[in-house]
Amino acid sequence: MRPGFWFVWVLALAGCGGVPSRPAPVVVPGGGGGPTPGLALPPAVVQAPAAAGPASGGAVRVLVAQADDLARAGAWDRVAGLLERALHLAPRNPRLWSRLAAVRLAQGRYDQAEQLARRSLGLIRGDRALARYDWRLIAAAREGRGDRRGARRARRRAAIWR
Amino acid sequence: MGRRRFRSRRRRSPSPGRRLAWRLGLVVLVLVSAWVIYLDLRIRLQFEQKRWSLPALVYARPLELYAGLPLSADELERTLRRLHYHAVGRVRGPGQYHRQGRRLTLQTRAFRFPDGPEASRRLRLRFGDGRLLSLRPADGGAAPGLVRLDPRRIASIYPARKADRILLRLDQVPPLLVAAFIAVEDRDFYHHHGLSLRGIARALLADIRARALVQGGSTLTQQLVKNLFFDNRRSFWRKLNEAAMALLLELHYDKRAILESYLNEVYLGQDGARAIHGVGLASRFYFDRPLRALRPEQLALLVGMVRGPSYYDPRRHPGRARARRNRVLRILADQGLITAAKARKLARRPLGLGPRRRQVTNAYPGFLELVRAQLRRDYREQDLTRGGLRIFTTLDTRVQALAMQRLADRLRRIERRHRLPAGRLQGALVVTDTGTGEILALVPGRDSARAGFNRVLHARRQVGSLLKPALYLEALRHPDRFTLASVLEDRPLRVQLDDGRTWSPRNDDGRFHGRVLLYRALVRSENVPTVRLGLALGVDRLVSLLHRLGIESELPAYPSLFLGAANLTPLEVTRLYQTLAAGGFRTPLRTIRAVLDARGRALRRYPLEVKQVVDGPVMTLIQWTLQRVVTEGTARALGRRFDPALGMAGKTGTTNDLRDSWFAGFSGNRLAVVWVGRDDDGPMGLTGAAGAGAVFADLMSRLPLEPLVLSDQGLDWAWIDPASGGLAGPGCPGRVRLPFLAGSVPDRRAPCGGPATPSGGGRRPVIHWLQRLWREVR
Repeated sequence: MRPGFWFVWVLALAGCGGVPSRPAPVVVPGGGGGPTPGLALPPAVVQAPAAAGPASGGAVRVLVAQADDLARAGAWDRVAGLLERALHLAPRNPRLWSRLAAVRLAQGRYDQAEQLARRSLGLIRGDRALARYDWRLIAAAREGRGDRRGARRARRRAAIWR
Repeated sequence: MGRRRFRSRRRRSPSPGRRLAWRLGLVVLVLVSAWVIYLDLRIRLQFEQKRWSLPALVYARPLELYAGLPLSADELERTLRRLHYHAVGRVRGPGQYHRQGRRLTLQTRAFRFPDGPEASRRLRLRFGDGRLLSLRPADGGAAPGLVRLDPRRIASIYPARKADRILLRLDQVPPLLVAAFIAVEDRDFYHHHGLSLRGIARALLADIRARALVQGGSTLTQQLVKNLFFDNRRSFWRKLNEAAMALLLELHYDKRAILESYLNEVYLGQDGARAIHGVGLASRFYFDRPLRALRPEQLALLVGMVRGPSYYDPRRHPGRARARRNRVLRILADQGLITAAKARKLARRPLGLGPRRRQVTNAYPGFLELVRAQLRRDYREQDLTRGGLRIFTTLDTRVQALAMQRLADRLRRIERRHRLPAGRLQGALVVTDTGTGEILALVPGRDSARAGFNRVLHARRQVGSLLKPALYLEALRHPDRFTLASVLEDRPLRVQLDDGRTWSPRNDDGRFHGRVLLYRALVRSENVPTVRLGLALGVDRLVSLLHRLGIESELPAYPSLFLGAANLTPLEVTRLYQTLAAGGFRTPLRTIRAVLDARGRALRRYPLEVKQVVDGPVMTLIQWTLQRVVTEGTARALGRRFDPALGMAGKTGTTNDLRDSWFAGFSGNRLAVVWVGRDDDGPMGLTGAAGAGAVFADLMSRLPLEPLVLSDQGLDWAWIDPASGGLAGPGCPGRVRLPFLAGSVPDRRAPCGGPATPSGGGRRPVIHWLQRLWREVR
């Protein structure tokens, strides 16, 4: 596991699952693998539980909880498998797409991380905190690719959603 | 001395006859050695390979149970039966269930999935209103939330020899069965070296005593060799080879390996063209149970059948089979493996056969063709048929069954109503998950259970208006030129073609409507305004966008493409609409989720991948318009069959002379593409809405759907006057509220007057510049 992945996941937990988190600066990985100064992110905002369809909501929560357990062990492939199952039940839940984006970021698959975060952005209805989170994730993915200018642009976009 | 010399000379130069004999002997020795070496090589090469030669197993998507799942008790029971669960009075072990009306107790089987193992659980389920209301552990405790049943096996990919197997390790075989095989077939198994003279003698004696062939003299090793390497012909040479190979096999492998192989290879009957090899498969085939769940008398029957699987076939000759089984039970008692009293008790029991199931080796040939195409890209043929791979596919057997049934049923009804000869119409359809691009159902034709022409993959038909959304999408990507409120001319049009001819497109109703708003032209699928729009944009732009959206075939870059003059397969149309349904994200259509090897290790995963090809807000405009198609446009007849809150979106496609009828539509979670037509491309008199649309509605109205709620990002809303396309005040008759890309709301007011409100209750203009930023960043 690369350093910093943990923080990304914690961010995803706080941003997407309704799990309360203590305000603390969160760092996402930079291109070199180690935490990059200047990439410190403000605390993620506690969110209400995901608004999935009425039928599948409970099942989605179970899958996300299982994914969180596996994420602690860094079993990213299996985490992704669980999130895909959740997406099958609730494909228009932007939080699930954000989480999958965080997995890809943790795996260093920066292109997919950005694409999945964009997929999340396209489904958001009024959830400003999630939009901010997605843009930060995109910024981190671009940073990971070495695209510093693009990362700056994404951070500006994140700032819009305050 | 001389004599001695003479003698030694004689020894050195024997008579010509003896010399010949010597040489002959040498040649024979060399030949025999070569033969033995050949046999030895063959044994060692083939034994290992055949020992674990397994077909690749293909699984459907498992049923996931959770409170709230739309599923009736009847449906679950059908699913359980297909998974070979047994209805019992009291649930005692995995694979059993007990139903009482709306309550059902069930013990699931443990199964190893690609994302982790699923343990066996005993659950109490309660149903009501067509839903699973609750699931609780039978022993109390917290509700598990989500439980997966073991997946249904939909196909096996076999090697050339059509033999199915369930391989077992020796420690998975009940000890009584092993002991019984040895007691009945080869008592000296642990002491001989492949051949047993004592066994032959004893068999001879028994045969003489009974004045019939009651015992064979072959050892288990010889029988294994026979099963592995020879067919059923009897000859002296074969016997000799068999004996030699048995000796060689014992030389190379220990008794356990030979026993294990024997149990997995032994021939125990025939199911049509499929040979039943091995005790694992035989247990399933005859008793519909795993081997470890068999009772002693059932094990005895298996042992008894080895002598003549067709002669003692318990289904065809129950009397013979029973006599043979009881004979085996007596032998077991004689050998002290069970008590005599128990043998007598067991002998009174019935045969205990399971229901004979029609074993389907490939229930969904249309879907499997796509799976195999994918596998061929990643694996060699021999790995597929030998490695015992486990292939987890995306097929949802419930959706598939419904799709097959709905297509066939609707085609029959259409034929009756239109007085068409029965069987004239054909159809094809695909259902996918809009989020993940997984194919849930693929129906290649009307008689989809039979392998045949796979229309989804191979039928190239003209797509007609199905391409129009792409053209309008291209227009809306240029908000400075086109919005949903742009006014298009709907007047007679003559297009000068490259070859000098002129083309005059016409609307389907044969009329011209003067001026029409852009969104209405698409909602009503008008041809003339569409061609005008296409000419303004250029056909090359449309071709390039279609390729980005997922069409891989070459497209004819002529103006007729604006009206869909391109031949595409239903699968390609599905790719196109998958991108539209997924909000401009291209997602490869997937049939495989993961591949595990025989030991359950993940060999390969096929992760979800997405790629944005069109900006989100522009896509939302098209999705919004396609929703109008269903509520007020060409598909409004079928739209009435859906809850308006679902926001179902779709597009009809009808080609010249009503030869092809298409419908592609999606809710928030499911996309379905349907084609109906004739294989001979003849006209059939059906529009897209009447043929394919009806099939679509029949199917989708029965699936659990999630609403298509559109994103509000990057959009402004405004009231528009349909006559002028300008901003409409409350006084404008028939004004409509339309979405616009942020910043592109027209500033022109409609002549019908009244104070115009640009945002129409939507967004504050202050943050427009932020919204514009949205589109800048890619």
